[in-house]
Amino acid sequence: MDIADRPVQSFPRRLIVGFLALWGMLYIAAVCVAEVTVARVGQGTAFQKLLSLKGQEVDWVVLGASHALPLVYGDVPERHRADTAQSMAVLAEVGAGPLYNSFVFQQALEDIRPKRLLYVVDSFAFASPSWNEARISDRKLLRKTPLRASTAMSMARITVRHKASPTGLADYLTGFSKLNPPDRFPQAGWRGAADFDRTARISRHAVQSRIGYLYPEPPHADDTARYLDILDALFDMAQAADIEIVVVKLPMPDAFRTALPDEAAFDQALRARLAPRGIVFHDLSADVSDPGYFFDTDHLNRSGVDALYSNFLHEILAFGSMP
Amino acid sequence: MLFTSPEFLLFLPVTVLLYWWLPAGWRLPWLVLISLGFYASFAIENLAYLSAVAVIALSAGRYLARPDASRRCLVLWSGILALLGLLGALKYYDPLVRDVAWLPQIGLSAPAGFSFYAFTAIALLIDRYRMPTEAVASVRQDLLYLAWFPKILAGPIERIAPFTAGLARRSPMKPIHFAIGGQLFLWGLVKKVVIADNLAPYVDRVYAIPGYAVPLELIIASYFFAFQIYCDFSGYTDMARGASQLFGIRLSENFRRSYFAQSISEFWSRRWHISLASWFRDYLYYPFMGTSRTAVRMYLGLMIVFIASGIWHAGLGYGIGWGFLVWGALNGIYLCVERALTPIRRNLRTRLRGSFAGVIYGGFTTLLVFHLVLVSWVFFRAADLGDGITVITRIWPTLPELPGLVSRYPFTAEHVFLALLIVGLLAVELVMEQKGLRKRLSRAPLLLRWIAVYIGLFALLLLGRWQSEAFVYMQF
Repeated sequence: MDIADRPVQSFPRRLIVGFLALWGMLYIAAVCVAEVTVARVGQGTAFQKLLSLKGQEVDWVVLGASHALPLVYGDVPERHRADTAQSMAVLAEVGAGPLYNSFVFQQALEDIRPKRLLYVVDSFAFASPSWNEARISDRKLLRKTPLRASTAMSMARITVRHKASPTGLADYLTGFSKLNPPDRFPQAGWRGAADFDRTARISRHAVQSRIGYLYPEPPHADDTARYLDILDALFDMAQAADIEIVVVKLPMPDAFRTALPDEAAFDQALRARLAPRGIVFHDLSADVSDPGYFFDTDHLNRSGVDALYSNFLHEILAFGSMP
Repeated sequence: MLFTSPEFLLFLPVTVLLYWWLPAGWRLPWLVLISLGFYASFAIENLAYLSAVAVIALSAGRYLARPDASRRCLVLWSGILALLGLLGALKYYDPLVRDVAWLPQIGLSAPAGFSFYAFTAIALLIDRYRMPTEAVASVRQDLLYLAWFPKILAGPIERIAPFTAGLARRSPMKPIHFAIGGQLFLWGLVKKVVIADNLAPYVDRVYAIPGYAVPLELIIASYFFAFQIYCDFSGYTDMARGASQLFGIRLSENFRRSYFAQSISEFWSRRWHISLASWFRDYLYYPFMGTSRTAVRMYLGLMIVFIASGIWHAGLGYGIGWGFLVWGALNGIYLCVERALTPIRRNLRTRLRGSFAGVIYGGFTTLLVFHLVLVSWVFFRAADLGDGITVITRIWPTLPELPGLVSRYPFTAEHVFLALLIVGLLAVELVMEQKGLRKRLSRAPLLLRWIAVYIGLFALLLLGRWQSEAFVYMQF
């Protein structure tokens, strides 16, 4: 025998159970405090907004990635309400591709029963799992996603169907990221509303670096087709619920638009999906393209949103999907 | 499968439960199996490197265990040279010949923990050579000694005799032993995940391009790095010792509240990476000294040991270059100067013993030792020697204006948070440093002890940075 037959004394089981039970209670108490804080404080994420709007009927829901967020900073929902008496909820999310949009939309169907959907399309969001599956388990988003049974079910379905990381679901159910914020001291990154009134000087280097960030890997036709399928499924859900759909591509500076890889192929594939459904696609990417209308390489600033709304969006929203 | 990964936090309890459930005859194979599995979880080819070391160490070790065998010296030196050759080839060859066009590269690099088990293997050979009669040459025990998973990545570098004696221990494994192991693991996890991993991003940011950093930021980052490396490495060791203790195998203490050292020799021999220091002492310094006791030979021996330690650290880690040599040489010089001043220091300490001035003197020497070590850490952390010199030359001229700089500097919440983590660490270590207090706390009521554990768990939960950062010393 190479190792001694060392006996083990029996454990004080009651003590262990007591220790674990007390730990469990303390943990649950901490999670409850964090949940209440997330639910009450802030409108940072689409899910927080939906919780605060729950039960209300909303005319327009806006989905997309960060390019749709200047609509909020430029008070488009308030202006649209003043002009048409129609309400609008912008549920776009930074770096959110169609899979995350679909996740949000399922919750929106339950909470606010929207009548119309404005989908702000961005080709980069169809190019990489980083903006789709990875966003489902992104701790920065989970940190501000209130715990709800319907969201959990929807997340579980996505985890199984789309092979998103199960750690995201575990994190969501245990409230881990709410207790342990992943971005305690963020150093850099998109400042969104804080920069909204600025006008950027767009350099070639800045554009290249931004494109490199948006396309962590070169776009692949299979990935794009897969994410277009997910968008199709989202539109199926919307049309089954009699929701009108408008798809729009927002303005971009010329330097940025021309640097996007395979944009024409993406547009063609998108149009091929939208045409059979009778969904109108408004490509505004070449309109309002003066660099003075942007606060960074590709996001509209206040004067850009003003120009967009008064020249294009007001009309599009007023007529819905009418061509 | 890092110690801080969710997979390991599942792996550990399952393997411990199975270990104690298995019949005695199955336990050693189980420990070997889980150790190999743990090491292979980083990369399957790691097992090939481990096998190469094991074949050399086990075959030569078995031969050296026979006191009557001929050519024992030849086998010993062949084994040592083979192991050092492997270490050199994997760690230093490619980086050294990178700029020499006519020399081919081998395209291999040392896997995580390689130098730790290579040093363990050398210790095995030398101990077998020195004490063949004490040897119990069991291949499985020797393999476990090399590959035992809690220590394979970053030590402690154990010795064969106490390790195998531990396996033969027959006293019952009590619940308190599990509790001590668990608490040690928890404390190590707190040091790593809460302190070291929170300090790391700040240090990395500032040290990325030292030429662009403000001198005060360089000073702050250097202080933070001193605690980052301490918590990273000692945290790893505490986790390794705690995990091993759950299997009833004790590993030696490798760190002992290092920054409370009152002399450089105390720092290196009794408080910092004790197992490596004693390895160098037993297998390099003492053989070099032989029977000679001359001062020149002693100083030369010390410098050789520290330069060898610098070379051992070089090759991987934060950069390949001369920075680690400077780090080693600086510590060697500190120690030589300290030895030269020993009569004066001894005289002063005797005179001040028991007085208030003695306490002040103790505090002063602790701070002095800490700052001397801090200067050497700059060369350890910097990407290369040039960066290390940049840090020192940017900090040095600003020292006279330091109070003014500090009062004007826009400290952020991050600075305060990180500083509070260090204060918390020092407070706990100060308590642990007081033997009497430590004893009293260990006898404290159960609820108080539970509260201490809950504080640790909540610190991990609320403040931990769970990004699965590798341990710094795994790279050496």
